[in-house]
Amino acid sequence: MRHDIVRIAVVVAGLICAAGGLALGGATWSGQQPYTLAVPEHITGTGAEQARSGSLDMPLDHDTPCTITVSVAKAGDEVLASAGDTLVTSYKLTGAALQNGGDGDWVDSSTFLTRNYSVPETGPPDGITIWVRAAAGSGRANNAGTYSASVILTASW
Amino acid sequence: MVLTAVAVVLMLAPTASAGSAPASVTITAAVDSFAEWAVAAPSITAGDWFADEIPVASFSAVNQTLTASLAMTLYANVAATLTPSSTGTGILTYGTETLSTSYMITGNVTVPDSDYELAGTGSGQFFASANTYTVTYAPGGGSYTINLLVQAVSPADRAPDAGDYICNVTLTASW
Repeated sequence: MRHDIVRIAVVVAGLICAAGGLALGGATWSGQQPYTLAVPEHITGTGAEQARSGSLDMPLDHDTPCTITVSVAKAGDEVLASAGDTLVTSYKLTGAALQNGGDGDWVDSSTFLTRNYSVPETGPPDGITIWVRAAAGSGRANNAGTYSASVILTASW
Repeated sequence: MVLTAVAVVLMLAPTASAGSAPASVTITAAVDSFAEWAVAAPSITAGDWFADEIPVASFSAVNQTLTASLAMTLYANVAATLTPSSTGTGILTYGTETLSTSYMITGNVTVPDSDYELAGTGSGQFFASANTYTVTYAPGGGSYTINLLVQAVSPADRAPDAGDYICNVTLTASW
């Protein structure tokens, strides 16, 4: 009798841990990985009117409140660059699960690295969307080609 | 003893240990080849003319030569060809009166003009189909100065009608 009760308790705990495929109390990014965001429309001129943007949904599975921070593997990775030439790069992070819904406007790339986004609630997978805007410089034509950048979003709890 | 064990196991779920989950996002954006003028429709007006390097507002004699220049900026990330044309004749005109009009292109082109070329489509003239200019494109440059110089000469044997003489030139950048 005593062994049966202990066994039941262990099973209950196991079911709690297995719910949502999470480790006990934590968060994981889901969806199609690796995450790649290709700005769909090309830049074909100079100046701010040539800004192009794109977005990527990054579902976050979590059963505990967490905080999302932004970082880069090496300095400057946050700026869209190609062979020494750069585009004016801005970001936004949005989603209903973020406190206050996240960013209401574009954030320049260096400021984006200082942002903390609180995910106060727990629950089903939350849709987090990262947005990027690439703008041509003014005063000269950027080199033609593909520009790339990378950022790291880390959910901590 | 048994109840204590159940309570301990169930309390593990809400007591999460600290941790983190990173996700790397790779982003790409493309810039196409293009060329565009910084100012789409610049103009040379009365205050831009010179006679022997002295600013003048108008002709005041027969056989007088006035010149003007316009520095234009071409933004380009590809080798471009400039082709001059005009929706009219490219000759300064007032009513039926004309001034002898010539042009030259200098600046960041591989072979700048060394002398003025008459407005016209004949061989050796400014609007001849063979008269094109190649921008001296260099990767990473992105900005090039193109100078359009115009020369107007009043008739040698008579005074031209007084008035504003007008014409237009189109420089088309192709790539």
